[in-house]
Amino acid sequence: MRKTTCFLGSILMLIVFSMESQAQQSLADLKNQQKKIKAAVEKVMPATVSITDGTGFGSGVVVTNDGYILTAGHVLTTNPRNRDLTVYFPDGSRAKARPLGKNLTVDAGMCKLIGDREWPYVEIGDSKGVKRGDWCITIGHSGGYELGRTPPVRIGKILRNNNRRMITDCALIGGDSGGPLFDIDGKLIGIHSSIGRSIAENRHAAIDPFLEDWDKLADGKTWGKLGAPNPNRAFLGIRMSEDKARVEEVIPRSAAMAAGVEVGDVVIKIDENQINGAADLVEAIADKQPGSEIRLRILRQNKSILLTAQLKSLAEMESE
Amino acid sequence: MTYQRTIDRKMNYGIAIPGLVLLGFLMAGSSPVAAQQENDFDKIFDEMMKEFFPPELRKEIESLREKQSDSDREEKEGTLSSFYKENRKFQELKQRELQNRKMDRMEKQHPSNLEAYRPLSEAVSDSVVAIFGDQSDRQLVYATAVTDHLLVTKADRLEGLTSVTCRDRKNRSMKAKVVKIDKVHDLAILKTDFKLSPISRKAKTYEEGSFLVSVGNIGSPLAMGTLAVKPRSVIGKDRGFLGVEPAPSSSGVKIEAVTEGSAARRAGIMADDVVTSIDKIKMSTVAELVTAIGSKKQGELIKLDILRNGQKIQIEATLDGRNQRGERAARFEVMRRLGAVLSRRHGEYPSVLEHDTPLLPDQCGSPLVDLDQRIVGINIARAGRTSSYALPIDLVNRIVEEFQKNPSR
Repeated sequence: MRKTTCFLGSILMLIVFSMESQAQQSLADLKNQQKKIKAAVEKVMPATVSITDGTGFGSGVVVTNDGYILTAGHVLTTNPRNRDLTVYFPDGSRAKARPLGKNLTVDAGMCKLIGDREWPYVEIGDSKGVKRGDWCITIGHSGGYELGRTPPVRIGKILRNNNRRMITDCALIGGDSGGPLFDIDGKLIGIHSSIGRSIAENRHAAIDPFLEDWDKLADGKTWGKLGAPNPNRAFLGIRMSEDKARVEEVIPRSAAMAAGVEVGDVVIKIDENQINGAADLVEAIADKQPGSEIRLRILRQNKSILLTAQLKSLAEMESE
Repeated sequence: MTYQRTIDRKMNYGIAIPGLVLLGFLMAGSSPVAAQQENDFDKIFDEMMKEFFPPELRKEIESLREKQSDSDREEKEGTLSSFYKENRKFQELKQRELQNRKMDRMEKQHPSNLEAYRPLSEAVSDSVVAIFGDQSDRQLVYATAVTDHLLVTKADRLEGLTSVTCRDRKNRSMKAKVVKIDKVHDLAILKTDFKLSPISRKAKTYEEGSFLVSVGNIGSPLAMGTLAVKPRSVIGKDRGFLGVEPAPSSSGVKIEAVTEGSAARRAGIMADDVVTSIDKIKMSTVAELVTAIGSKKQGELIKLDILRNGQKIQIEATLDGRNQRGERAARFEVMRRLGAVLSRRHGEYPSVLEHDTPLLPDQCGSPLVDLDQRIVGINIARAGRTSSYALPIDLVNRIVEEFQKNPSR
């Protein structure tokens, strides 16, 4: 009996591992990746700046040779009179920059260096193509600009990407806000935004929305709201506690209610993701679009059942 | 909207300085931490509440924002610093919570991803021992063999012990004596009669982006990281901070802007003032001003001669510390400990290389190894959420060689 259990266990393990195919890496693979990352760091460091409005510090990155800087929207919010910003380069040189627009919902901001010269800048990548498990590089002036210190380099893996927001295990801290997230080739894929409790929860605004809104940002427009839930985000509509996957509430008119989820159900899996609590639920839905279908593996009165739910956005729920 | 908040109970800290208290707390909610034992649960819960969702801190931050008076501000700061004192019981609880954290399969620190570094840790772990105190079986720290009979470790973790028990990879126990404490670098040298397998101690160059693995007295790697900043001094982070933006001027150093809530603002320094001297020393360049202020400690009083609209005036200012003031300090200190247990001593080092390995305090003293199996340093402190410090190997070599020449000193 015991043997059988172990055997089944190992089959399950195999299934779990094969779901996420990441080939076992060798030291030689790591050396190749390290070589790319070192080259990328050397290339992008000079364009990674610290930004201050006189009240505090954020980071940013120069993305054009005429001096457009991308940063986090919230870095520009402590500057009500819209004074020019002071920008510090890693080599200690300083310049002034004019604050431009910000989209606070995705935490995107823009400013432009003042002065007719060629600035060091980085190449913009494409955040849509960024995959879970990809290496990424974080640079930022952690803790504010520090004379004689280059901005600390950190590396990590992409854990989530829905092309609006990315979550990585590149640890961030105060002062990094607005700093650049690069792919392994040193192309800009995101801008540092906020952190959660865990060191594996570091949030970055994906770069594509910056490009979509480039003209509006460059025009100095401000819109959106910080920390506001995105009304167009996919939404399941159950409440569970942080550490238990037992459903405590099913929200009326939600996808979960339509699918037949009941209070007391224990959610084991959403698609292939194991669910152990509210955090897992949020993560499992994070990449989904409204309208997409998910499979819920549920334990109800000790029976395993499978439900299918079609996700809705908050806006859809409220309009019904 | 309310649904979204209750369901997506996620912490969200804006990470500018001062950044956004609002963003930070808007989405904060309560979140129990998984714990094995019921008894410990309440303790951990209480501690975590304080650490991560501190209602007291929220109140204090709010009152700091409201209250403008300096004396009030100082009083609140006192409360904040005692609030964050590194206490051992708390460290143990939090460390366990961190170790029990469920990892994402894709995380760089996931055991399956660390396997790739195993050849390095297998090769180096024979040179590493775990250090235990007299009575307890609680590991204090690691130590690294640098010669046949000498080991180095983080001095502050030894808590004044003069002899310790070491355990090597083969689980052999040996006694070691503390023969040297270098307080400046926080490095202790231990001596044992046991024959050790020392690391190779070649000096090397340091490059940002290098992959680094920390190695204990076990075959599995402790954790990986990357070289974040080349060796530098981290002394004087508590040095004086006035809070001005200086610019060159023909008659002294012009103040372009004064930071809100800073020592300069409180003292009444204004934009367009020209500083001609500090403590009677003439100021003619920005560098001179920066040096004059930087050479003072936080809390020190300085006297400035200032030209304002052509009038000579004198102003006295009590210096702040950088990042050590009221609201900003509080928020940064919270973030610094998010997802990390810091070493008790984690600063004032004359030369450290910074890396992003999430070390635990009892994992210090371990060697930091690059992909070519070279030892680049000895881990000396967990300094923050994003940073650990290591003493560069060439510095460790110098200290060890100095000791070998003059063991009595």
